[in-house]
Amino acid sequence: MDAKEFLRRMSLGAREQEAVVRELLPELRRRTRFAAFQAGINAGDRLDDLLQEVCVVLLTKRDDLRTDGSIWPWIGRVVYHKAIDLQRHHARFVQPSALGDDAETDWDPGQHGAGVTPPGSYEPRYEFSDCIRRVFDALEQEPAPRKGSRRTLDLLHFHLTVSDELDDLARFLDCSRHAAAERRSYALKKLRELCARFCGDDHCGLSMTQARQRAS
Amino acid sequence: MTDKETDAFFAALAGKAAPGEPANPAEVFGRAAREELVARQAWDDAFASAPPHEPTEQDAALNERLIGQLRARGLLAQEVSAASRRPAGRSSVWSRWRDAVLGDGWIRPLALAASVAVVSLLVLRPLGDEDMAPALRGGDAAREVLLVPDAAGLQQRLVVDLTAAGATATATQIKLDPPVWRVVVEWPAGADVQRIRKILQDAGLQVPQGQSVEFDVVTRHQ
Repeated sequence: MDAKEFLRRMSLGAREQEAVVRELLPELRRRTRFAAFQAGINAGDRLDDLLQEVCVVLLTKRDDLRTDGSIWPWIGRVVYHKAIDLQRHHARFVQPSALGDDAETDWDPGQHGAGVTPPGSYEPRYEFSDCIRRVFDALEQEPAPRKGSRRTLDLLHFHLTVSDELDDLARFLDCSRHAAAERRSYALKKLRELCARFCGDDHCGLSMTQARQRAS
Repeated sequence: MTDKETDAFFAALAGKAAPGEPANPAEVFGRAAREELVARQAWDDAFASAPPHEPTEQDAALNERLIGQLRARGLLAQEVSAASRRPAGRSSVWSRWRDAVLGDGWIRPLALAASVAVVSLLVLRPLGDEDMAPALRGGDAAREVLLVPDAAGLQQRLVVDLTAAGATATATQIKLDPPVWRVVVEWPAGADVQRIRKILQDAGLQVPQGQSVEFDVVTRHQ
């Protein structure tokens, strides 16, 4: 279902909204169950709590949906945030290595599809404050500064997944090495500004970093 | 902001920070940014590539329970009977009318007005309030209403068949939603009356004595 159709049907009243939720639920459950398993989140019997919170967002905050394409990337981001919130709320962290024998993982690779391998290399930690997540949410919404130019988020992704060499970044940005270094410096500045805007947690390690930096 | 800070941040972002206690604040920030970016990418990949599998009966039961919980929170309509649910992806005229009337959108007043008009046409007129009859009908002839799946098609066929039988048949569209076709049929003395009557009776009309009949054809909601 694309965003336009989703919004049109959701505007038709409570009964149509229920029909939409009924249509989305099976796929939402399947995707959420698998992603939670892969991310090492012990959904277990809390999966339905998670799905309920996601449905609440779909029903009450659909105006946040700003895309013309499929609604699933947006829903995926909603589930991601809700999953982490739930995980933090319960403060129960399960290491991926323990999931294989855990009856509460709510995912059986043998039953739910061949080729599904349990996660091994990726070990997520959700110990930082919400601000860092909100920083990247803001970056995802940020348009390119000029037509054809790269966004800050693109720069970070390139650095993380392709190459950390400045020359490669300059080619990616189609600019000089000096300009690429300037863009990196700007990216860090932008991240810090956003982090300072969103962080209201005195116990956040990143916030303390800012304090330490100011003190120094 | 110094180049050293930027370098430390991007080294940590690339996973090249020295193990152990971070050397400077930018490195802490770089590690946090890396963690978030990796987590997002992993989540997005997993969410988009979940392998297909048929929902189990337990899943279906859990989904029903979840719908009930959302209803209990006041986020969904309180009562939806099983009969009123339609299969996924199917949108009938009836359900669209229902959603328009019961919904909270701008179309609701229009839908209500159209509903009143249709109810007046379909229910009140056949009840035969004689005092109102001249004002409503604009004439003395009793008018029947044919509720059919395809009003436009039927009125067209009737006009063709009746004309072929020697009658004068005219159909006028009244612009309501759904549209109403008002058909007036007259036949002269020399026309094939038996055939005309049979055509009208086959269409479901009670044919009066005389040489004319007037009726409405309306599409019936499925």
